[in-house]
Amino acid sequence: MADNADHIDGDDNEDVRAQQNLIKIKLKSSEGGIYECGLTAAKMSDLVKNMVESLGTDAVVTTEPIILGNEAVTDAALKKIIEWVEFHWDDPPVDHDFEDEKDRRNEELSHWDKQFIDVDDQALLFDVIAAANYMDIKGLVEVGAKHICSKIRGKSCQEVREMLKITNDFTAEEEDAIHKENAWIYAKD
Amino acid sequence: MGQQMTTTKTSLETTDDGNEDNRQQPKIYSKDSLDRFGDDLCELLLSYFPFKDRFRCECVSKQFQRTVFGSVVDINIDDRFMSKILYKKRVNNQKLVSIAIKCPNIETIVCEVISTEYMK
Repeated sequence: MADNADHIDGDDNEDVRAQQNLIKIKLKSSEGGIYECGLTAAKMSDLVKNMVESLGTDAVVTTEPIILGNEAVTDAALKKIIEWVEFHWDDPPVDHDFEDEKDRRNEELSHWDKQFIDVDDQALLFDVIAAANYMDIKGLVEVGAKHICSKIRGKSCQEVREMLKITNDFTAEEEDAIHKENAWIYAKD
Repeated sequence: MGQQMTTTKTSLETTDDGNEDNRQQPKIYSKDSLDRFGDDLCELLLSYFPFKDRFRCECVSKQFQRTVFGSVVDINIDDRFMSKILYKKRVNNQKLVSIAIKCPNIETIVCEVISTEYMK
């Protein structure tokens, strides 16, 4: 372990990552539930990563739970999030090169991710997305975003509102004006 | 960390930035409503939306209107798009202007895929 401590940031080394994931840390939800998660997996959250690194030693990290105080981090959402990072911790690091980034954005979700994010309980889905956003897990926010976009693709404004329970705060006239402005773009050819 | 978020019933209440007609009082949003998300997260989610659908969805809500176009950084102009902006064989600049106004962050306009008949 002493050797590994030097490499705590050396996330490129697969062996180190695998070994570090055997270290279990505790994450505490805003509802008080405490859940175990592999260190490498947990560090997919930039928030957790920064907290762990500011604490320094592994010893502290493994005994004291890391508190995730945001309301979206419910027990159920945190369990889902841990399931996701534990599945994805050994993904190749995301390349921030612009072209790759574009390809990745347009890529369809994997079968596993699709099943993972397709939860019937929309409050839980939104908790997971908001919690992932708070915890700064970009990959998971992306999964949520792609899921929502695939659900509302091709739907009318009213259908989108009903599905995502969005309040229409436009007057009928305002809505009509926007429609008229834009219709030529999305009209069928 | 996050203390500022504990003061309201929902942590992710819309953070309006002084737009005059947005209700400024703290609002309690239902957990299964997308209204609970702030503009930043909303914009991030909508950044995965196809270009045309963004225009269809602009009138979903004022939050959508504020956030749906910010992430448009490149536009692909292809033949289908050209046929939409042509009026009597000339490009209707007004239409292009209206897109440019709505999407303030455009960096690239890709015209590689326009066939030569439009290039005359």
